[in-house]
Amino acid sequence: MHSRILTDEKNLLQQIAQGDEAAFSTLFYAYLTILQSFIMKLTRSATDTEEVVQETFMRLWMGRDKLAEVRSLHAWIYTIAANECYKFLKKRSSREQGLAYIDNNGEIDRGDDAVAERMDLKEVHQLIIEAVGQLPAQRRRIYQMSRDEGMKIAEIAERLDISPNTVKNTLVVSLGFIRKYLAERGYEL
Amino acid sequence: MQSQRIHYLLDRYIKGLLTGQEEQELAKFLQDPAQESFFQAELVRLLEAEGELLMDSTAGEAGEKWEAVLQQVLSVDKTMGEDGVRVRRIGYLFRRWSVAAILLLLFGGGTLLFLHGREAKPVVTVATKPAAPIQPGANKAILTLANGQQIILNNAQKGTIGQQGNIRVIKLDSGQLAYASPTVESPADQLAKGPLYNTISTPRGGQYQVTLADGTKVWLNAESSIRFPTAFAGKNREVELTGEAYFEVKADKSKPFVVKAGQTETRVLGTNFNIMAYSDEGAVKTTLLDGAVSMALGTQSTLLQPGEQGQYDAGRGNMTTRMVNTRAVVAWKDGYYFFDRTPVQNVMRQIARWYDVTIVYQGAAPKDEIVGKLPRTADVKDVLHIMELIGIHFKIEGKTIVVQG
Repeated sequence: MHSRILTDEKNLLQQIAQGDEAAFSTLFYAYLTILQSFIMKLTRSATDTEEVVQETFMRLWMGRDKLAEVRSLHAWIYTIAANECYKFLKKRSSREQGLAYIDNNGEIDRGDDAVAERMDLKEVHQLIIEAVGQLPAQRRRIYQMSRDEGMKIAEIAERLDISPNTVKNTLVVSLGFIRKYLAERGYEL
Repeated sequence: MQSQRIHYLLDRYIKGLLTGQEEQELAKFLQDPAQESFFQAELVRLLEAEGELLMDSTAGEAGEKWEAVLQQVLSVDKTMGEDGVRVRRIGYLFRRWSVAAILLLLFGGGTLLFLHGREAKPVVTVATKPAAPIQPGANKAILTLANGQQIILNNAQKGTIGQQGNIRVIKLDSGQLAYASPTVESPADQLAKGPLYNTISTPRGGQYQVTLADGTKVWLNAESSIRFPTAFAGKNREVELTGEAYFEVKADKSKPFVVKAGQTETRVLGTNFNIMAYSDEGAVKTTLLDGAVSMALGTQSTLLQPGEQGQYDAGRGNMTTRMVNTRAVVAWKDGYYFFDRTPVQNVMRQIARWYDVTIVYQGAAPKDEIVGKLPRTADVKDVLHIMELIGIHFKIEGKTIVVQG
C-alpha cells in the first residue's frame, strides 16, 4: 500500500543496511511528511516535533543493519515512531505533574532538569564514541573507515585486503556492540 | 476496555478536546507501564491513518531545518570530524534548550512562564533579581568629529547632535549622519579646504549602523572603528577600518569605494562584503557576498568571486583565497552568532568583544571546534551553559571568564 512512496524499496534498504547515507536520506524524506504531520498534531510544538522525528530516525539509523531483513518498512518505521510518541507523551505528562508540584510549593525550577532530559542525542553521540574506543583495533579501524571516512564496503575490503563479507560482518558486529553498550547505559534502541 | 478508553482519550487529546478530568485520566494511564502496549498499538494505528490521509499529497516541508535534523542523525555515530578534529555541535543543543532558555531569560522579569505547545500559562511569580554584571552588547558608538569633539551615539537621538565649526551634524531618521552648513559651499570650495574626517567607533559590547555621505551602509561590529570623510570629494571614496564591518556599498562606477584595513586595501564599485580585521585575530579577512571586489596588499591583488574570502595572514605574510559559508560570516550583523567549525578560542574572542569580558585559560585551551547558531542577545551565562553541556567548563569571576582545561 505504501510501496509507491519508495520505488525499489528492497534495494534501498540493502544500501542503508550497509551504511549508505544517501540511501538513508531518501528514506528520511519519503517518511518525513507523514511523521512530521502526525507528531505535530500530537505535540503541538515545532521544537518537540523536530525532537521526536529526530529520535525516530536516529533509532532507525542505529538499527540500520536490521533493515535488510525488514518485511514491511512502514510497519517498522511506525512501530519505532509510535514508541517515540509514547515516550514523549509520558515525559510531557510527568513534566506537567512536576510543574504542578513546583507551583504548590512556590519553588522555582531553573529549567536545568529540562536541559538534562533533552540531552539524549548528544549523550548518545558521546556514548558511541566511548563504545567505538572499546572495539578491538581492526574492528575499530573498519568502523572508522566506514563512518568517519565514508568509505564503501568494497573500498575498505580492497584497502585492507580482506573479503567484502568480512567487512560487512565486522560492521554488523560493531553496530551490535554499540547498541549493547548504549542499552547497558539506559538507551534502548 | 482499557484499550478502547485509551483510543478515546488519545483521539480527544489530538483534537484538543480533553476535559480536565480526562487529562488526569490520560496522565494516569501514561504513568502505568501496564498500558504501554495499548498506547503503542493505538499510536501505530493513528500513524497508519495519517499515512492513508497523506498518501496522495506531495512531499511537504523539507527545508534547511530538516536537512540539519538529518545531518545530526547521520553524525551521531561518527567519531570525529573530517580532518580528525573533534567537532562539537551546539546548534542542536541550543534548539533543544530553547524552552529552558525562555524560562531562564524570563527569570529576572517578574513572571515566570512555562511555554510549551501552543499555550503559555503563568506558573509562578518571582521577585525581580538584580541585573547580571555581564551584559550582551547593544547599539552604541562614539562619533569623533574633525575638531576632536566626541558625541555618544545611541538609537534614541535625532536631529542636530553636534557642531563642527559652523557645520551642524544631524542624525536623520534613517540613521544617516548629515552635515549642514549655514552658507552654501561649492564642491570646489569644499575640495580646496580638504575633507573633514569623522570617526565612529564602537566599544567592546557595542555595535552600530551608519549611512555614509554617498548612501553606503556600514554595520560596525564591537570594538571597531571607521574613519570617513563627511563628503566624498576626491577620485575615490576612501574609508579606514579597524575591527569588523559589513558594507553595502552604493553603486558608483565613476568612484571606486576603497576600504583600508590593516595593510590591505579592498576596492569595489558597488556590492556587499564583510571585512574582519581585528588585530588579535592575526589576519584580515574580506568576504564577498555578491558582485566583485579586489583585495590588494601593496602591489599584489586578488579578485574575489561571490562566496569567496580573501585572507591576508600578517604572521605568514601571504594572501590566500577560499570559499566560505557567507551566512556564517555576516550572521553577526543580523543579531546572531553562527559558528561553522569555529575553534573554541575564536568563539571565546567573539564572546570577549561582545560581552566585554576578559578570557583566561586555565591549562591548555580546548582544541574543539564549535558548530551552531546562537542569538547575540543571549545572557552570557546561558551561552556558557550550552558550552558546558558539550564538555567545556568555565568559571565567571567578575568580568573575567576562566576556561578550565
